[in-house]
Amino acid sequence: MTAPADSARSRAGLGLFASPQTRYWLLIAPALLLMGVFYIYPIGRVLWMSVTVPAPGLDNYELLASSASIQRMLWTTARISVLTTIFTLLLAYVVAYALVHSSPRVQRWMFLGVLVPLWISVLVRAFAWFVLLRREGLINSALMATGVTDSPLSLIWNETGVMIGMVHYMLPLGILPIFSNMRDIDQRCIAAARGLGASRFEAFWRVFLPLSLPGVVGASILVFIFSLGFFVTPALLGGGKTLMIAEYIKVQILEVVRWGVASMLAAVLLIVIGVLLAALSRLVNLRKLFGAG
Amino acid sequence: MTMTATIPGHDLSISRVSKTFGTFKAVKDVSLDIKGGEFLTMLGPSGSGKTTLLMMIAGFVQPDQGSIHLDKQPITHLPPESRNFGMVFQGYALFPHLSVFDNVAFPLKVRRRPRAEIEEKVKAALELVKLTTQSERLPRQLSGGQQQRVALARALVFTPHLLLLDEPLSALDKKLRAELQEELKRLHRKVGLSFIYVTHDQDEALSMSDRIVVMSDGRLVEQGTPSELYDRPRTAFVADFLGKSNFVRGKVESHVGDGFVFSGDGVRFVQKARDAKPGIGSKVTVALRPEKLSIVAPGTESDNRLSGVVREWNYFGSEFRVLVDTAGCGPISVSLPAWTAGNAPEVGQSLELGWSARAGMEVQEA
Ligand SMILES: Nc1ncnc2c1ncn2[C@@H]1O[C@H](COP(=O)(O)OP(=O)(O)OP(=O)(O)O)[C@@H](O)[C@H]1O
Ligand SMILES: [Mg+2]
Repeated sequence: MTAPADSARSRAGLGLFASPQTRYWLLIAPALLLMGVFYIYPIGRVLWMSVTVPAPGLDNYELLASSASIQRMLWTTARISVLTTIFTLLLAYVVAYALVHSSPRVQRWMFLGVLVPLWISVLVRAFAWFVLLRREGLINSALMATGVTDSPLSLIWNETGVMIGMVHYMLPLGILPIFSNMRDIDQRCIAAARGLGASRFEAFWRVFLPLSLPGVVGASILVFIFSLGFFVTPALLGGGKTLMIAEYIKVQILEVVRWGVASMLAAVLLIVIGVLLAALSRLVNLRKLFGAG
Repeated sequence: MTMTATIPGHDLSISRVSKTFGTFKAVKDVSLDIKGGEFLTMLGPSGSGKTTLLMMIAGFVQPDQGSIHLDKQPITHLPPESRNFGMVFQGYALFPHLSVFDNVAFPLKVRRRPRAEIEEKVKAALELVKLTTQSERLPRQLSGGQQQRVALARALVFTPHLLLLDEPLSALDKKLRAELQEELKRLHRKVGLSFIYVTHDQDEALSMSDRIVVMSDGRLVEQGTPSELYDRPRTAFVADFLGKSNFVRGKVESHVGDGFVFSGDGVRFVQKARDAKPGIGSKVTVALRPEKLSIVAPGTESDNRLSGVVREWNYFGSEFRVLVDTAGCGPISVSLPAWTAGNAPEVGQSLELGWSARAGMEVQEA
């Protein structure tokens, strides 16, 4: 509460800056305005359009139950996102584990390796994978030269290609939350487990793994949410055959011009992500996960 | 319950172990034997290598040289989980995701004991440390003292060959520490295991141990029972680390009776020899406990006398500690029981200190 001296001072001051509260609101007003005009309002419009275009009503949402192509696309989106999340987490866990157990010097280099891809455009990365994965690409020619396979594997223009690209993109997002959680695990607990008779593996299984689970849960929801709305990689590496929700929406707007369907799907995505975030916030401290606090 | 008084103690023998981290020698050529059932304390200043030595015993750190034997069996390269030693870590290292019960049950679970046995032994162990009502709580819901008890129960529940404790009480306040010291001693008598106890608290070492090992700078400086080390230390380091000491230095002038006369800066002292009398002309150092000095009235009989001026004094309830600037021997601190001291000495007052030839302790400088 404000001390008497404090309130006396504010009464004497300019009316406009009467309380700290007002001051703070004024300071964030421009940012709020920007958010309102360019973010909240368009989202509101999208939600509104999903129940008004082409005619008022829930017709667009009915398509979820009746349209086979939409159902197939939603199923593809869910499957790819789940698989991407699983593969990303497996790899991220191993990398994070190696990170916390290496010397500070090695750790710095490994971090660079984890973070550098984040600064490279997702477009560039997708094309890099294209170069590596296509039929005459580096990987196929290496596999054939060494005699592992006789004919080139189809690693691109299908779900495999999409997932390789997506896992690669998501990896830092998986590693960072798991790493920040693992770093807080008391190494003496692992030593204590060994001293009390647990083998290396058992100490990991019974102590380290359970203690690292909050990071894993946080990372998995984060990666899953990002995967759901992913656009560039599926569009480039999927070759038009692997249709996920973001690309489907784009097609609805730019090619067949069905704004109602597009905005309905956008609304569905928004709601699903909102629900997932709400679940996540109950499980782990969101502020910590995203680097604040 | 199998845990009470029936476990045969195991003998541990450490011979000539050394450990270097990078270029830093943390433990230098330490040999040590621990008899079954003994309460052994490793005492030393911070960084003297106590934890490193304990970690080598536990198997977390591999010695570069030397060997460790348990009952004549070499265990130097055995992994920690195969040694069957109980360990209480500094800060306890309880598993934060497990309840008190599951923490204590952990060593039995990894040993694949049957359920009923686990149930029974965990209960008995929690009873042993007087913690029976909180077994479903998580460690963070317990007080420091209670966490300490859980760590103890967890280290004892699987009837280990011996118990290693690394400063187990250092995180607790003074009163609780005294209480748990008592309890640890009671526990030690009851379970009959060897305890290897690391501390840098000299009072703790003196009051609890059967034997104290003093470490300094990676070396084992001296070992003995608490009274041996306190009353007859061999080194200046121990005389000053275990309790406080004043030091008087000089050259031997002559031999008398079972002692010798030495002089430093023109003042003569008599001192009883420790073993063989030191040769005439050799340098000697004599340690003097502040409580073995007294203020003597002029003209009274005393083996040694030294005059000086009071620089400062402090009152500690049961005693006065007086710092006296002396001619020839520098500042000397004296502790006087408050009930005999009468009036406090005054700063600037001249007085004479006296002590008997048996009160001093002939020690070696490091
Ligand atoms: N893993 C390590 N790597 C490098 N140096 C180490 C390592 N462990 C210990 N040391 C060094 O060895 C020396 C002895 O450490 P140790 O922990 O054994 O001391 P201690 O007697 O237990 O001290 P304290 O009373 O502070 O716990 C210290 O100088 C420490 O810096
Ligand atoms: Mg230590």
